[in-house]
Amino acid sequence: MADVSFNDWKISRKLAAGFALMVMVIMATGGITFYNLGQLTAARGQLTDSKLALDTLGRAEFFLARQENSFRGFLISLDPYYLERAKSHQDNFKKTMSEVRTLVAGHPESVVQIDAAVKAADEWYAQVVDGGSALAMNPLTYSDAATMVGQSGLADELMTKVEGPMEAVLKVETADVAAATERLATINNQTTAMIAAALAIAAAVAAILGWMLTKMIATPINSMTSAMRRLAEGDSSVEVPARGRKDEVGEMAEAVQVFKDAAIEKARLESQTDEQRRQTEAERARNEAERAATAQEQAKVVAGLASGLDHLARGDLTFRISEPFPGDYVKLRDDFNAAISQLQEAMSVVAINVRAMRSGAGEISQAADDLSRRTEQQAASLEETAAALDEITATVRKSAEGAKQASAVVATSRGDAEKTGHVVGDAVQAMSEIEKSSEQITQIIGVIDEIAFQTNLLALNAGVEAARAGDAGRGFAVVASEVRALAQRSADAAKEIKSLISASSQQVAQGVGLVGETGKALERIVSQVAEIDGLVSEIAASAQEQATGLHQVNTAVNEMDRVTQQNAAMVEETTAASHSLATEAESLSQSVGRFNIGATGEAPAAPASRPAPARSSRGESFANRHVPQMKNSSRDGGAARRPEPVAESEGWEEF
Amino acid sequence: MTDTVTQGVAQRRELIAFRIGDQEFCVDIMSVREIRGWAPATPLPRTPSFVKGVINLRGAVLPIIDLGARLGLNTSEPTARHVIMVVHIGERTIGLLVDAVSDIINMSDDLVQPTPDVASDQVKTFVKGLFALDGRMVSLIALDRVLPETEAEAA
Repeated sequence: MADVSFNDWKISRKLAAGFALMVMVIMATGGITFYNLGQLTAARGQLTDSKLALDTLGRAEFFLARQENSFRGFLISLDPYYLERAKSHQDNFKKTMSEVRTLVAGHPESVVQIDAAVKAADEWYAQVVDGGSALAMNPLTYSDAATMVGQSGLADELMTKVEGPMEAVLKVETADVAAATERLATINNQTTAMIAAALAIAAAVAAILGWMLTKMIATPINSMTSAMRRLAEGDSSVEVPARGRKDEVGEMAEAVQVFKDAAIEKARLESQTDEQRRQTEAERARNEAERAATAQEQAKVVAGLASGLDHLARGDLTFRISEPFPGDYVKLRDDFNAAISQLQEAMSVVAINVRAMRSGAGEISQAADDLSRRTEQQAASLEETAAALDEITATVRKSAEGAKQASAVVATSRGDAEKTGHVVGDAVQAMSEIEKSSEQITQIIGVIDEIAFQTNLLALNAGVEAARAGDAGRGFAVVASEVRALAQRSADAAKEIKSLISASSQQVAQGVGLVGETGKALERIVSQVAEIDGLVSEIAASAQEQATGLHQVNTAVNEMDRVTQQNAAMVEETTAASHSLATEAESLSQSVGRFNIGATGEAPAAPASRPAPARSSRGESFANRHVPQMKNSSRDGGAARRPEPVAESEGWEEF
Repeated sequence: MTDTVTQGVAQRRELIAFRIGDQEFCVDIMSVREIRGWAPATPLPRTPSFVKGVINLRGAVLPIIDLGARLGLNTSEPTARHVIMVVHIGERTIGLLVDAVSDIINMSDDLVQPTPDVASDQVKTFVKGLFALDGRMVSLIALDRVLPETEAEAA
């Protein structure tokens, strides 16, 4: 089952699965390698620690030996310098031993040993160095001190207590180093073996995958290729391999199977076609015999048709084929006869139509003549109209100019009237001056009157005195009387002047009123003149517009004239064409008359008067159709009114 | 004065003619001292209506009498053209206010015609006679009647 399902996978999927397997194997190998490398690193760290502990322990032993050495130097030289050295070496020893204690913290028994060694060293120092130095400083006890460090002395005994625990620690650490080295070698070997095994597994997996992919992809394709090649060479019996598969190879096999089925179908069709061709050959041979038999009958039929066509060619439409035709050709003869009959009928109709057309063409010709004449009259009238319009245009232009001049004159009048208004104002002014002067004169005259009055009084007094004087004053009285007379005349004259002046003042006032009225009248005249000016301007503008309009009318009339001339020319052409149409209708009638169409065709001049009984209704319909048409045409335009009675009379003659 | 009128029939005499309203009167020229223009008069209390007042004539007090009012004619307010005639009546000198002095007339007494009887007595007391002269009718005034009797007597 697993195999079948794997075969059903697509090739790309198969390839991806193979490579995924390979990647998994390589990743497993890498993981193992990384794990072993970690192990190696841990073992090497342990080894390094143990070696460092051993080195430090060696340094501690060195400092212990230097203490002993320094003390011996003191014993020899009794120099305190060596005691100082021994002290510093003791300090270094203690410091180094504490370092060792830290390094061997993993082994509790070693820590105990270290503590014991330090304690023993302190005791050695107290007894040997401190005690020994005190002894040595005293010459009496110097020998005791020397003995203490001698063979089997106290010093060696105490030193052994120090060295014992240190040896034990040394042994433990050395054993650790050996163990770590051993473990390192073991891990190394293990790693090497595992990597080799992983490589072998990867190689084996790759080889197996390669073999499987080759078997599942390349082999079917190769067999498919050979099958296809054989199919291409025409071998349709070849069995298409791997058709059951569901991958690309299976699809390819299905496609090849389609090719193969098509090739088989094609071969089957070719064999069928060959069979049909053989049947056709046999049938053709049978037909050849039948055709030879009918050829004779055809010759006879052709002869009959030839004679019929000969009559037809000579225009005899009354001929019918009467001799018997073989069975198959009876219909041909009937059709021929029917065709001739149809042709005969059609020619009869054509003959009637041609007659109607001839009369119609005649009417058209007459109408065209009338139209031509009237168009010429119209053209002449239009020319006259155009000339009259020109005159009117000139007149209107003159009117416009006159109106313009009138406008100018009116404007001048307006100016004059305005000037006159000023003059009137001046006159009023002058008259008021006159009034003033009159008043002054009146005053002066008052003075004169007063003087005259006083003179009169004086003269009267003089007269009174003269009268009192009696005869002596007689001459004086005369003088006084003369003076009185003069004064009286002066007073009279003054009175007269006064009345004159007052009359003059009244007249002047009247004159002022009149002049004011004149001014108002002049103002009215000015405004009226302005109105007149506007009206005259409007008249001028209208005259100008009239001139423009008349010019347009003139243009239009000229255009009409031109068009009418063209119409006249066209009408002449139409007349000629209608004449030619009439001629053509005549010749068409003659052409149609050549055909022998039986009783109806014998008299082309008046065929409609004697229509065949079978076609009478149709002839009537044609005639009916013509007469109303003529009436219509005659009603449409006055130009064709004259031919109307002719057409009607012809129509009524026909009926 | 009456003596002079009633003396010689053909005695010639000069008269001063003057006008009050439309009527013309005259007096003897010898009774006239002076003729002068109107000057406003100072009215006097408790005087008759025809006494216009007094004026100063060269230092002398001269009473002014409106002759029109005195004669019972319609009068008007005096103007500069009115005239005062200074006359002697008896021993008194008075000013007579008239409208105008028109003429000095020479004539004889026989042309004087008597005042018609149709006139009332009062008229006859003021007008001594009438002259018909050149279509005009001139009344001769009796000057001694112009002042009231009491005054005349007092004068």
